[in-house]
Amino acid sequence: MKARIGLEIHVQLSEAGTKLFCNCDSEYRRYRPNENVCPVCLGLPGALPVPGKRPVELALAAALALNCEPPRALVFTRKHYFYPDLPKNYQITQFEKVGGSPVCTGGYLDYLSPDDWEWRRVRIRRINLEEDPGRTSYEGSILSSRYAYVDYNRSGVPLLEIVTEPDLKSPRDARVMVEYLLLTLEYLGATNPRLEGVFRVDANVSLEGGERVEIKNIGSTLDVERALRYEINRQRLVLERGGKVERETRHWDAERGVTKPLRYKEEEEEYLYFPDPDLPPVLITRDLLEAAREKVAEWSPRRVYEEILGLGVKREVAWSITSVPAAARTYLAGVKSGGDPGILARIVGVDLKGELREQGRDPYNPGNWPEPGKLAELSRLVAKGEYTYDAVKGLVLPKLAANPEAPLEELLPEKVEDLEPLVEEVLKEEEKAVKDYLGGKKKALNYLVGAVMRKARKRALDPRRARELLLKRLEAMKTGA
Amino acid sequence: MNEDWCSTVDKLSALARLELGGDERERMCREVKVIAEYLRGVGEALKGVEAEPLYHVWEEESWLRPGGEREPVDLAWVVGSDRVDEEGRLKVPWREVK
Amino acid sequence: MHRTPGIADLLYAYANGDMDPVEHAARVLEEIRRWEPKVNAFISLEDPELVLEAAEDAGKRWKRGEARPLEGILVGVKDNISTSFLPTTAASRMLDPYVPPYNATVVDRLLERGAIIHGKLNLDEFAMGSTGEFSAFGPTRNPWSLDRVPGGSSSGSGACLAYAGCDGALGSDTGGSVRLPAAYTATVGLKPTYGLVSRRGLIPYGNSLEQISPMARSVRDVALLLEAIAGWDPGDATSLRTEAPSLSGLKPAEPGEVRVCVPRGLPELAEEPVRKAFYSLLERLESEGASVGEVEMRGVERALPAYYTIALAEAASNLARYDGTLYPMRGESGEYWRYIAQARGRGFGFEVKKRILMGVYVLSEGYRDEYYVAATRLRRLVRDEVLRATRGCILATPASPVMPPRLGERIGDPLKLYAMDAYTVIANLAGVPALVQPAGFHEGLPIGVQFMAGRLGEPQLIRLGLLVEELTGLAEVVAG
Ligand SMILES: [Zn+2]
Repeated sequence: MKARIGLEIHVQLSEAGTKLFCNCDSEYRRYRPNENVCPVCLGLPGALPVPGKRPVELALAAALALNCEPPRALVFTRKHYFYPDLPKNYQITQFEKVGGSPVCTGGYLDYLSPDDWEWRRVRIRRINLEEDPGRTSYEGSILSSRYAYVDYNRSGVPLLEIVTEPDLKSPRDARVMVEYLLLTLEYLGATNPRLEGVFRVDANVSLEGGERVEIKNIGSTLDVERALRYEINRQRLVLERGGKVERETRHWDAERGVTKPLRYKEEEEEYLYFPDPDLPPVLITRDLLEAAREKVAEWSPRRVYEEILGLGVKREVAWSITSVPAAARTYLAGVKSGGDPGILARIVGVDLKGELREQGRDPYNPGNWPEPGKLAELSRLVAKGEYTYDAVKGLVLPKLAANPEAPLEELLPEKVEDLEPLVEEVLKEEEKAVKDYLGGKKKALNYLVGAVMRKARKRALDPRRARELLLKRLEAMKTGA
Repeated sequence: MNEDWCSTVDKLSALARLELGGDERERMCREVKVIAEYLRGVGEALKGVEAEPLYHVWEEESWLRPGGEREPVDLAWVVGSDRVDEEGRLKVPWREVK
Repeated sequence: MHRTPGIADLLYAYANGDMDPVEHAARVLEEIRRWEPKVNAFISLEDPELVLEAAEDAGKRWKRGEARPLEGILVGVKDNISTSFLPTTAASRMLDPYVPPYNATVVDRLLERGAIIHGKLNLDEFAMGSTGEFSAFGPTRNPWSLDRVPGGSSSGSGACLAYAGCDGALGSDTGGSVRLPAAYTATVGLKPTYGLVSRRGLIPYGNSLEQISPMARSVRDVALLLEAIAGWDPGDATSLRTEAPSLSGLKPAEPGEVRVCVPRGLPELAEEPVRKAFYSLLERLESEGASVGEVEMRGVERALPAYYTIALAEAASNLARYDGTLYPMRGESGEYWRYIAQARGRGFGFEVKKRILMGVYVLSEGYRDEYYVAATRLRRLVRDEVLRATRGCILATPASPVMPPRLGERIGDPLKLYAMDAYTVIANLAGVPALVQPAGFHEGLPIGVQFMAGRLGEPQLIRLGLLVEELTGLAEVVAG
């Protein structure tokens, strides 16, 4: 049975600096409850919203990145419903009717599936730029709490509501799309997808022969996949047993890993939409548009990924670099300053990234990456054969991950310049192995190489050269004997 | 006819989250009917007239705020400290607990 | 009837040392003590000690030559304009006693210019009304005749001026809310071009229509106040990015350069004494050499229902936030949905509830196009007609179709109440400035005339107003 999946993704523009209509902080997580509020985002009588430049610029860039035809102007619309987290009891959002004009009314996103390395396309139906409501918490359960406890620090944070067409084919597909979408927005400097609660997903899914079911409250990309998988199985069972899948809204319970029906809503939806009289349209000027176009063109996951592929890097590694913007910046800057593209890719995309993770240091934080020139230099030393990749990987990268500021000279192992005396010593000390080799046991050579390496202690030594030297001497011993 | 308007008033007051007390509902049914019929005149006057909606009288664009100083307010000062819990969150009655 | 010095006179007297701000403030406070029990113009008054202290500071500044443009002038502020130093209730139980954490931009501007804000003025609850009777703090009475209303919704603003309880006042004008009071109290009210004065801090009723508006006892004084509060405010996205106009130095218009026109059919809606006073003023202007004509305007006969439709829609939206959670009035139930319905039921008066329900009605899915959207289309028609007409002349109409009503006379029938605004709502729909000033008296009751100019035509209005004042001699008059 084929599934049709559409998503509604809410993403905060956490990096906008300010809230949508006031100067409070767009990153509210660092404040105690209700310490990131002002008359505007509390909706106090007479306080007036004024659209912020950065949130508008970022929303526009997002719309262009999703291939939307930009509107002539943005219009903000009031949407009314009562809830404790909504201080004005209306949300300033966008609407395509009653004089409204959302930031996007149709686009698409091509996203890469790292499962089969295919580019896929999802159509975007609409994007709204709107205010996030505050946060409500309850004592125990929402059903039995005496009070709703409201923190308005989040109230007014710029939020994009991105609605896709039902183009997605599977739970995995949906997850991959959301991950790519978030990466795209991260590349624009619009959002930090790893912040707690920075995005929420509602999904709708229908199977052939069934009605559309909406699932609310999905909080992670992993759960996008889990919730949809659960829901599709549930619907399939219903259909297989000859039942009917009703049109309904269900709630994702992440703890139990199930979707549950929402309590039936009695009132029909009546949002009393009309254009906010406090907010004249925001004209999309040529300047705004140019700035957004530049932002999109200079730096996107697809551009970066293809550029790295173009340098001859394997797609797994290229994607590994691309999926971490700080790594991508480091890599491309390193190549630009003369680094070896292949070796640098292994360092950045595989081993240093892995080492950072190992040491619990966030690879998304640019401050945790060494200066690109340093890594470029390292890759050149390997390319020139001064050090082996394994020596760099084993001896340099762990230290660099722990302290990206450390100067290269201090990290690089001392090189063994006098390999021959070491080889001579080993040949002298390892009489048995030498005898074995000469007696036809080829494997003894490996043992001897290891012995040379051990003698070098922590100094860098090229095992191929040790092997060559050993061979030469052993052959000489053979013929000489 | 008045009963129709009373059911309209009931729907409207449910939507507006507005409790009508005493004789308010009855009076409201009468007056809402009169006003609604009066305001309908606008639509009738427009028959055959070409005019686009005008939502902002000067049809000018908004300026964009470049960012600036935060102007935080103290919620407890605005609403009274009895409505705020120790953590600073607003307390809103939610469920009747026996 | 007698005269009392206005703002311009006071500034002149302070500058020359002929009068001391403390002496003046004491006199104003005395008038308030005498009149307030009868009139009820104020909802809250600043501590008299503080007012006198402020006046003393003003006196020192005048002596030191550091006086600011409104130094030592006592301005009352309508209680729907936010002040952080006095409660701001919008005359509603819902907001009694809400103290905003910030000042409205106009309040800051007045204070920066040396004005003393000595009290908050009564109004119809949330500025919804035309008589001043819908205040949760009781009706305001008209000092010219205590059994009559002073007009609304800026009832206290008109009344305090009429008994000399303030030198100037701020009101707000959504559909005539400073102009009706001006007409009924023989004072002057000027509704500015939409966007000329910041609305930041004004508790909204009909955001797309209203402006904070100055009131005073003379055209000159209104110009001084407007000059002080006008100009772009980055905190109000609808405020116009224009420089504040220079108004205080304007001279009266020369009659020969004045062109006035009357929208055909409109004056005929008015009661006879109003019509008579209106036409006799126009005749006087004409005899002085002004040109007086007629103009045909489409749509204005339906301006009133279009205005109400838009105002009610915006009102229903604006008032959604008062739900008992952030503001003083609370509900009883522990269950959220009941609690907010109770808080709203207890906090709002009947008129406000009615306007909220009507606003929900005109915005709801099945009716939005027929009501709300239709009204915005008619609004375009009216705006275009007004802009076209005011290119050639200043529009003149009576200010109100009726004489100041007795208390209780108009509020029983909603359509009779709305009809009081027939002349004033046109300027709010069109966004243009409109001035109301005294035209005459009939049996001891004031009658006002209204002039409307094009967008940012305030200087024209002021100049015409000064000329009219010269002709009628009706400036700086007070009751009693
Ligand atoms: Zn804020």
